[in-house]
Amino acid sequence: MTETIASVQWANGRITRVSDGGTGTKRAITVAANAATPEAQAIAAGEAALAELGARDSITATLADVAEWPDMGDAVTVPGFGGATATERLVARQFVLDGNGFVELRPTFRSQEEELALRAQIAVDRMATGVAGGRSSAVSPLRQSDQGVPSGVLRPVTVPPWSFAGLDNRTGHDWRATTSVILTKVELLLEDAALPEDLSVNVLANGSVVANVDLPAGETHWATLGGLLLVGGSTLRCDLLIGSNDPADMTDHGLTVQFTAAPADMHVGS
Amino acid sequence: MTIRPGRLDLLAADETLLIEGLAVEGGSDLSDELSDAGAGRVTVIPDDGVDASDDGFRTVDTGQLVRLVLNPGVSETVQLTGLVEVAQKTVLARVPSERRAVLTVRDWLAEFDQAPISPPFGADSLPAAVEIASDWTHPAVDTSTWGNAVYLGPAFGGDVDQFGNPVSGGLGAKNGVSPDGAPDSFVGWIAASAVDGNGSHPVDDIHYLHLDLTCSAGLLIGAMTGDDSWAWAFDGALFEEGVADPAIQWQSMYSLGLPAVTAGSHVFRARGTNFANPANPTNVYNPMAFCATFYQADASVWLEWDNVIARTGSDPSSADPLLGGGWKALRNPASPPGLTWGRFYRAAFDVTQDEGFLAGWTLGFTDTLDSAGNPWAVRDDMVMRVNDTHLKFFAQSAASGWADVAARPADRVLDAWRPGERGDFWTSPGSPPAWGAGQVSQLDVTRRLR
Repeated sequence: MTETIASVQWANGRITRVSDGGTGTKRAITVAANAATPEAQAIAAGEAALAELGARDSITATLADVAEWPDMGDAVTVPGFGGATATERLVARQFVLDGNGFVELRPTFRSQEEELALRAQIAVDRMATGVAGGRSSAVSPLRQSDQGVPSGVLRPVTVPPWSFAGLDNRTGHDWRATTSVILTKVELLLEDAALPEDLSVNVLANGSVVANVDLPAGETHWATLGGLLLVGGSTLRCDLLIGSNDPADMTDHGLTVQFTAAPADMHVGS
Repeated sequence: MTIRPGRLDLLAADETLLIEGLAVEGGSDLSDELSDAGAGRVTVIPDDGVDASDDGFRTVDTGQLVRLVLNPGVSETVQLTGLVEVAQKTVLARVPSERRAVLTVRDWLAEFDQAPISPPFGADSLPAAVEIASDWTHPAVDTSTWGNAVYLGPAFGGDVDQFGNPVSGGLGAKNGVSPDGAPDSFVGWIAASAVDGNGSHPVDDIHYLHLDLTCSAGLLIGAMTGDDSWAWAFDGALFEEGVADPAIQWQSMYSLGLPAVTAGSHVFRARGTNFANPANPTNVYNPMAFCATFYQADASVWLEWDNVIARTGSDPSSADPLLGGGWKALRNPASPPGLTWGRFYRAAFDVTQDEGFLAGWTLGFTDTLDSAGNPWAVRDDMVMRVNDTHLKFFAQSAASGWADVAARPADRVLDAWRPGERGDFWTSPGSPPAWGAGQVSQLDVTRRLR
């Protein structure tokens, strides 16, 4: 008597053993079902593997008198291992030459059971890997990753805001970018009440004005879209221009200039 | 009669007849197998024991073909053509008639064992998939019936646009909140269909997107993301699988960073799914959305507008990739996009032939019909390994139940049938012939324990 066990590896490497219920000498087959979870799926994979086990027959015949030679894949009824006849599929043909200009055919058959078992194995493979044929679900590895080309999640970059308390025409401080960034949006946020006249901010890169953004009269929050490139090592500065607003009315106001930024380096050849 | 008259001919690799009727030793054999190249061993002896310049013994060489013809001169039928893979010659013998050449021969389907499977766009193309799947990632999946993608609004919200004009239109699918690290303020959200009145797509919606992309040789960077979970592939290579709930993909920007792509046409695909949110049982404001900008280092080495070659944007129906044109979409197909075995294999076959392999071979099936005229099924579960040989893929196809494959005996034509349908075994043979003692002189059964 033999007990056959499917040793199923699943989920995070956990091994689950599924028995065919036999007794006596233990015999194991291993099943990789790393995509299986929960445990019920792993057990199902093991049971499916056990179900396709069993004795398999392959039949080779030497022909005596057959008027029509069968073609590949044809069905023929022939005696099996125990003598009982069954319909088998022709899976190989051997042509033997006798040296005198004659040829003999020796066909090989595979049993219907074996054909079905082959298909059952496909189902097991699907359970084991998620798809047939052993396709991995992993993404393709990126090549030449040592070149530092960005891949995966892009790390957000932060440009600190400029805050002005008590508004007047004022030069802001310089901030130096350590990596190249794209400034995709500039937002002006006014503290306290809206102003009667427009207010604007000059954005300067390395001391030169590269953009001018306005906060229209009556607004406390204004966003301007853009795509300003700031190369790594450059300085960024925001200068405040109050326009026609009365400086005396603006001592209680505050303004924050806020940038939305993204990494800009392609790392070509680095 | 069981024994038939037969003749073994020797042919050059291009099928030019070299020797009609090789002199072979008794016991020589040739085999064919179901969906594989059968092997055989043929011993060629000198014709008449003397050096004859045209005898097979002197002529045979590796790379040549041997062809088994039954009933020669009466109603000839070619049973098999074999490829000589190994030839061992006894060139010197004390008795000249003992000279012989022992040939190891395989069914000429074995020529497909000499041809490697290339990536979808050929050897040396970049990026290169390491395995080719017949699913939505495959460049040969027909997208001609897919509709234009639908623009769902800008990924960036603001008051003034990049040209200094007031921003028009709504805030879009994600309410104007841009993903962290998004470098392109022109980029927009797209999907395969518009959102419903709740600003949502149905839970478990599946959308596919397609873009033909023309690139110059060099670096390519795609900055992209999606809501809820999007996978994407480039030239058949899967680069991102998406995220699993409750991870959130759209708030971060992802880079498809390719250090080098080859010049020419490329195919980008994406597949998205919409999750259910238990805290949002009425499915309000749960859109599917995808955005992407592709850059090449044409003008500089930064992710700036001058380097953009395509993006998702406001006009998917336009011809201008910078306006978001060219994006095709498919929503909730009845069955996942895939290929028939015929189309899947032809894609690999065509690439291999373009590279100079498998000269002279043609296909005896079409993209839609097998060699018996039966329609192939579309499947998305087939896979072939790049740099595997074509013959190994045939064996895998047979074992996996995808197709049966054979070389036509007398012509360099590759036939293929729906799984199991070569011969009549699986197609209701009716009354199969029964072989007993009258038809079989010996029958051996080998039983194996598995």
